[in-house]
Amino acid sequence: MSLLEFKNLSVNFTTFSGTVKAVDNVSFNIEKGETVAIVGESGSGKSQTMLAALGLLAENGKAEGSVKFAGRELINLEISELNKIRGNKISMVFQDPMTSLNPFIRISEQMIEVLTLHKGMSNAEAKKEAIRMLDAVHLPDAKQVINRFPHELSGGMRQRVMIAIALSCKPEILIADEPTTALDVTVQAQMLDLFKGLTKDFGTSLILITHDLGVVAGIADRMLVMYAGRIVEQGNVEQIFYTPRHPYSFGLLHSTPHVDNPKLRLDPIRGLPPSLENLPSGCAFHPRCDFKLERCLKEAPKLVHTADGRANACFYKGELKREGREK
Amino acid sequence: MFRFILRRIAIAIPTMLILIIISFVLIKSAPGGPFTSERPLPEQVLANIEAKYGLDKPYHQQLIDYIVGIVTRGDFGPSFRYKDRTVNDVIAQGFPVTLTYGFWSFIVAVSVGVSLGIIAAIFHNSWIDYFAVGISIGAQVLPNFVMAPILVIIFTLWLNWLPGGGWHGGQWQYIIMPVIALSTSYMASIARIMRSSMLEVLNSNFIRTAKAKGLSWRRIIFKHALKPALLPVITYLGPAFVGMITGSVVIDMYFSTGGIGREFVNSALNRDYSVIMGITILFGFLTISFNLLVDILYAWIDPKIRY
Ligand SMILES: Nc1ncnc2c1ncn2[C@@H]1O[C@H](COP(=O)(O)OP(=O)(O)O)[C@@H](O)[C@H]1O
Ligand SMILES: [Mg+2]
Repeated sequence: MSLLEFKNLSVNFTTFSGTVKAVDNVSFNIEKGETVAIVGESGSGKSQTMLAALGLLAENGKAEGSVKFAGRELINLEISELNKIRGNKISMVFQDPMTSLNPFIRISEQMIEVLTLHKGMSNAEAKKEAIRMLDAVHLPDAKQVINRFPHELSGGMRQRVMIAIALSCKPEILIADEPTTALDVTVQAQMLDLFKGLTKDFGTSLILITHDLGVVAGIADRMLVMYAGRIVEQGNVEQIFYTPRHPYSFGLLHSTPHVDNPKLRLDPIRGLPPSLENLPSGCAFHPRCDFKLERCLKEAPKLVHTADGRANACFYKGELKREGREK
Repeated sequence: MFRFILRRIAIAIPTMLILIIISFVLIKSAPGGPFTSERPLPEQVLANIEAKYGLDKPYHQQLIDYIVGIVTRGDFGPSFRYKDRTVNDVIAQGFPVTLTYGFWSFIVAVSVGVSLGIIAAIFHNSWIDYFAVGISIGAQVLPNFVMAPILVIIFTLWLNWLPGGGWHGGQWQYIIMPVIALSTSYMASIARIMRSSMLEVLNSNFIRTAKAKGLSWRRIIFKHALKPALLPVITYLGPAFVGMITGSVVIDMYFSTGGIGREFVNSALNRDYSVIMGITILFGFLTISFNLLVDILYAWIDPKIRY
């Protein structure tokens, strides 16, 4: 049994123009202590997959399928039971630190409330622990900062506070949804070091949603590549980085500056991600794919697991390469 | 915070002075006077009366005397109509009545409106929500002058449960209908504002964070969402207050409650200048003080406001 098991999870949104399938039949597992990256262009369903697991979908969204945490079904779990898990066993850090803290409540109160709720601490104990957590995320002057309001803090400081809150109950799983995109580059690097150190110290599994492959290379053990609500490839980070099997992963890697070989020309994937309301027939990626076959236009490939622990959803089995990439 | 209040009071003082001057000028420029009547008074008599009330002095002197009287003695002068009553007497008689039903109307409008709005937002898109929205839309088209006769028809003429008017020292039977009539439309507006701002807040990122923390819905609503959702309601309290003050005119006419609204109308019809002025200034003073209170409340709730 894995720590967190996604099985045939789908997320549908009801909108004025019909139903939107933001996540389509997604299955994968997260093991204890590992760091898994979920990558894909924006709109590919990364956030909704995780929000569905925690029962945080918008009002018009509905999750189907199964997400099991330590064997326990989370989808449609009673809210009072779910509340014992959220923020305690599974925590989430959101994309936008500027708006994710309550602007009307002091940092101290926002930190203390999780500790008193889940750990039964007194206010005084919780405050001490909160200051310790702020120190742990390397927030300078924790003793003063904790008494401030969010608007008195910079974006980087707020994201540290968010991480401190998320980790304060020593969760088994931390979900970080693009935790660094809103921050400037130096802060990004500090943040990643922080994640690396803390997850290791606490033995926490980290699910990191990002579209920055540099981040993935630096921190993740495994990765999932999502496109239009589906997983198109998954496997170890090294495997996928060196020998991507899905043309979309291949395209993503080639549109990112390469650390080992900076001479390679950047080659963005042509076209744009499809609109979910109007998905192409067959494989959703085929209109942008350089390797498409006749079959791809009619039939959507299933995610096929192979003996090497990888999985790929593509009919094309030949070699992926592009001509003339050297500058 | 203290300096913020001081600064606001410092602004309020000239505002009050301007109010006094404008209403003074307006009244002086209106045709006719308190002692104009069908049968003109003998010139000597008129001169005597005007001298008694200080109306023979130049306008600026009258204005200065008037302001000095208010500021130093809290004295709004004699009534021009009632020989034995001063403006202060008139106000002292009607104001407690208005204050009583006004206070309860305000409490009812705010507490019922806010609760209804919160409940509707919590049960968004359920029948409870539709019910609450239905009530508040219905109630909003029922201003005091429509509510008052409806209430009288139902509770006095049909059911015979409540007296159709009077005050009787403010016994509860006499308060109920004025309060419902005066508060209903404001209650409805507050409910509507509260509902939509609560819905907006509940969709915000920081509420998602609160949910992700595993907090109970009670804590999410009352600890995390209530303060920000109340801000638009608080902004509305100023206009609502003014609306209720002016609404007292209607209430006093329908229910014969004998509040300050009645005195206001009577004094206007009688050209009782000093009473009109006194009540206008009192209303102005109340409005300004109330808005000051609202601003303080707003600043106290929203930490982003700097004083
Ligand atoms: N409340 C909603 N109503 C309708 N569609 C939604 C809603 N929330 C998200 N979506 C759709 O779900 C898709 C996937 O979103 P998301 O998981 O947030 O993407 P990302 O991979 O960038 O995190 C998006 O295309 C978005 O349009
Ligand atoms: Mg996202």
